[in-house]
Amino acid sequence: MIRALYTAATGMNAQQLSIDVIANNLANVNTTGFKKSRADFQDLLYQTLRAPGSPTSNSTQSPTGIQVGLGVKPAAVQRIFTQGDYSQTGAPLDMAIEGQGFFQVTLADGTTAFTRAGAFKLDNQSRVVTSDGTPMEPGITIPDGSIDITVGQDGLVSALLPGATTPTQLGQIQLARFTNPPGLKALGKNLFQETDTSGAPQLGTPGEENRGTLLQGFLENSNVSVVEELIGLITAQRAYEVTSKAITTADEMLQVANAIVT
Amino acid sequence: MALHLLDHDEDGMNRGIYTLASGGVAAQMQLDAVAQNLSNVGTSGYKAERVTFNVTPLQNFPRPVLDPVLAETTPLVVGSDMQRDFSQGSITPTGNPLDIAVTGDGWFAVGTPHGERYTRQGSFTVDKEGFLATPEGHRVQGEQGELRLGDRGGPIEIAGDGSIKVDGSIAGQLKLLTFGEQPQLVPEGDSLYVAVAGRPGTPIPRERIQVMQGAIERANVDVVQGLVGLVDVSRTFETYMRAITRLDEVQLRSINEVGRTA
Repeated sequence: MIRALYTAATGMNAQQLSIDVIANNLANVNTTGFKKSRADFQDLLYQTLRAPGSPTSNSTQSPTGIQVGLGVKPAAVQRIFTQGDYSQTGAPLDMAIEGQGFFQVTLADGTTAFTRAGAFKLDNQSRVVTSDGTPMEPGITIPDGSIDITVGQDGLVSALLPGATTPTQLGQIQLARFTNPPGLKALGKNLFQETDTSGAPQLGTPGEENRGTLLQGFLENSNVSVVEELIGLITAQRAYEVTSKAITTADEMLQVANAIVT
Repeated sequence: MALHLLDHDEDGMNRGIYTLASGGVAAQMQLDAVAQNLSNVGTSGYKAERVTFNVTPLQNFPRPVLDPVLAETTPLVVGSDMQRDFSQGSITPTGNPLDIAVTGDGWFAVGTPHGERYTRQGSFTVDKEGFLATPEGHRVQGEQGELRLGDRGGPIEIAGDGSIKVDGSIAGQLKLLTFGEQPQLVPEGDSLYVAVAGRPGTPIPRERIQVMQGAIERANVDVVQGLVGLVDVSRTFETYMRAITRLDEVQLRSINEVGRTA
């Protein structure tokens, strides 16, 4: 009986985690380059009350035995890196990646992070930076007064410098690709960091080896589908409710058992 | 609960209490199973469990009993087997390329440090060396051993017959096993099952494999049935406990009234 109480509690915890993940997805429905997550669950340990093949009487035996499950546990909160929709902005430094690559940026502490949010800007030193001011790697500087900034599908950045009549090449954007993007660690602020499970970043020119091509003047929306998340929310809430009923039942049974001894 | 009361001598009257108590223990075990099912309502590939009971005279019970008369005349309700409902769960599309749902009677084979295990939970990932793996990092087995999807990062296509193509070229073939209509598999947690001794699975020929990429199989837990189970268990338990109270009252009366001498 006490077993059922704890088993049901793990179920409620699991649904709580589900709702946390869904809430984060919904909160980021308008975050550029955001990738939704999903909580995956697995059954917890089993307590073997009777081993498979053990006798149930002198002549019969239990074919599969009795294993009582002890609940559920989160197996992974998996980020799902499907492509988001594009929205056109017309801003020259807004870039969407059509494919699996990531932009590379250098954080203040010198480490490298990766992002799909291509809303770049210029800082006071005319460097290409993210909305947070984190510079792109390799660094690209666009001199003051340049017009007609173009970013090619292959990541080549060029502009017309003041007084020039032909465009000047200013740099080459590189994209990183990972063997297992869901293994990346989310740092917040749309940034990811490589881990052992994501594999090392494989840098290269956009458009090569499935890194994806760049789309200037567009941003990638989050890949959250509101309808899907709301359905998930309802399902999780109902599952939470149902599991709590198991706790109530266990409690009632304990009450009945206690009543014997009054 | 019933068993350790047996080592002191009893008259015939109290035998019923042991039978009733064993029924109460059985109801608790049933509640454990219902709580386990309801907790795992969100676990993909989960198969609902149910305890079966039979009534065994204590003398057949494979455990030494001190009082032979008691043993011969006291029936006990004992859990005999944990049955699992291996029916198909509903298939939900997720859009994640490494979610694979089995739509036939097949089981994925997974290599673990303790040997081969089987699962219906097809939410896989790629480990840092590029192999298809479970969230715990156990590698999924193909016809030719582990499945390396490589680090080309190209689109992964898994056909209905389990053949895997990465970036257009063949990367392997999923191995699926069948354990027959009523598989004798023992759960170990982490959504993995082990085959009982002497009942190994048989590999399914490629033309009979049925899998679906970008989808997961939901738990086959029937929530309504679970809720009915809760009411049933709770009332059954109450009946046993009330009957114990009545028996106790009867005995008290015999002692105090029938046995009154003056």
